[in-house]
Amino acid sequence: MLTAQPPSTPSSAPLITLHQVGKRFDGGLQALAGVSLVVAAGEFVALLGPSGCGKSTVLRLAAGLDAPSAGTVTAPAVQASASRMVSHSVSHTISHTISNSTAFVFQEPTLMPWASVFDNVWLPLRLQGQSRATASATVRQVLASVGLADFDTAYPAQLSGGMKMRASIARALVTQPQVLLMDEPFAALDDITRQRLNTDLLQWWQGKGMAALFVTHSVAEAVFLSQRVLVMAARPGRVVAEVAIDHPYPRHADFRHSAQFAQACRTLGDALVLANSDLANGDLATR
Amino acid sequence: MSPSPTLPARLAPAAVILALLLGWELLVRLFHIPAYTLPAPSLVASTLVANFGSLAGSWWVTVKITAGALALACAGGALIAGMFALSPTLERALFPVAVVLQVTPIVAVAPLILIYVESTTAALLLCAWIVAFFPILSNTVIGLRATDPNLRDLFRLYRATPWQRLALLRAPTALPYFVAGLKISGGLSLIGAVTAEMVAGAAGRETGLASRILEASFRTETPKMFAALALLVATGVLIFWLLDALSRWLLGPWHASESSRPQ
Repeated sequence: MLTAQPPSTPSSAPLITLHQVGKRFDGGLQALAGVSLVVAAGEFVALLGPSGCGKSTVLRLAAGLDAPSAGTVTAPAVQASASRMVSHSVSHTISHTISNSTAFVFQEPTLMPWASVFDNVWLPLRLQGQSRATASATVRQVLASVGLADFDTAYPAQLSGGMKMRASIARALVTQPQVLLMDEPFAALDDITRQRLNTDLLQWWQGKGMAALFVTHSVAEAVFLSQRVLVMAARPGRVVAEVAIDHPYPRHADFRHSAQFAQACRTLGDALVLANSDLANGDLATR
Repeated sequence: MSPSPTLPARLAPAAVILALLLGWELLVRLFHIPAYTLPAPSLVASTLVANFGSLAGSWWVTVKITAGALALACAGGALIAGMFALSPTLERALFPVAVVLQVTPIVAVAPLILIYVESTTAALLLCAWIVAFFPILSNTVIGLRATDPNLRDLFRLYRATPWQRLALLRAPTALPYFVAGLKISGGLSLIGAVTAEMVAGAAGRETGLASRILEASFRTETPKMFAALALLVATGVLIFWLLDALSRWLLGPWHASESSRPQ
């Protein structure tokens, strides 16, 4: 189950490809070195690693929010910005359709505090030029699917942490993205809310053909959600192991109590310890 | 939501002011202070009633200058801040000029402005505007920059145009800052208007409350000076209340400054 590296290529067409990617920040910090990974359409992949191992940097590269200092990144969001730079007139329509295809969920809900839940979820469509009336049906449908149907007029400050995150995910889903990038979205939530959202997230993801790349430092969360877990090590950030979780979807709460779940958690825990054992300070809060 | 305050708590501000006025009245009566030195509040009130005709006319002139200057400060401050937000080069080039305008004492420039500008009303408006626009400009500029980095990334991811970013992200972020600047500018526009009127002097047909104060001072009509001053203070308080209500209306549903305010 545990392969040393490099990560295997999934069966269906790759949607996100990082090839030998390095990222050095202006301050001189080498955040990533030689990172290669592939995420296929419809796949759920988790990036697991300790704080500061460059997990978030990988997501930002896949979203086209940062550029790599070495290697190549191929992703819908990156292609859109590249084609925009090459030729404005020719690729205008192309980049417009592609621009819907990547959504990002941050660690904080990152809602606009001055806007109602409806307006927050409407935002991605609004930025594409859809009027309130045009977008209304889509927004309401997404709000209903995340369980916020009755909260469309509420302001973010009136919602609980879990509900804010639901609104944030609704905003990501409203464009029906090809790629869903999530950066430890449930890290700040209590365990019960977190498990509930894990189960719900799989429902929202399943059957949509959407690729999900999910950053977490929780072993259990990675195992519960994903088909493949990529284990990262820090300084510099790199992918050191890949573990497949061969359990069919839909996954329910009882999966957490199965022997397979426990086994996968153990395997990943060991991989994490092994990957980060060279750290002098033993910064291993992840269990 | 904090619980609504009890009746004594609600009446406390009025009680303090009433106590101060009473103390003042007693002081004047007990020590037989002459009215030309310090008139008692009761005398100020009766002078106000007796001279209401001339004072009300002047008050209206001052109010018009103040409101006009504040409206121009709002429009000018917000507009210039918006231009600065869209063009950092413009901000670097023009912000020093705004600072120069801000730090120059208005009393010192007002005589020059009165010479250069033909219409006295326009000159007064300009003086009050110079004093009032800077807090709005400076606050709004900071607010337009204070956007949440994650929201900025989100707008980039969805390829928002610069105009969409300004209208949907930067302007709403700046709103609480703008309102805070507006509250300062409200009082300053009144101060600016009165200062400019003081410099302009008592001459002319349409003159404001400052001219009544000057006139009364020439004739040592101290109670009348106090009556005009009372009107100015009332006007300042009124402006504050109006802007406070505006702030509550604009920010009430979502901003922490309004949801956590003491009732």
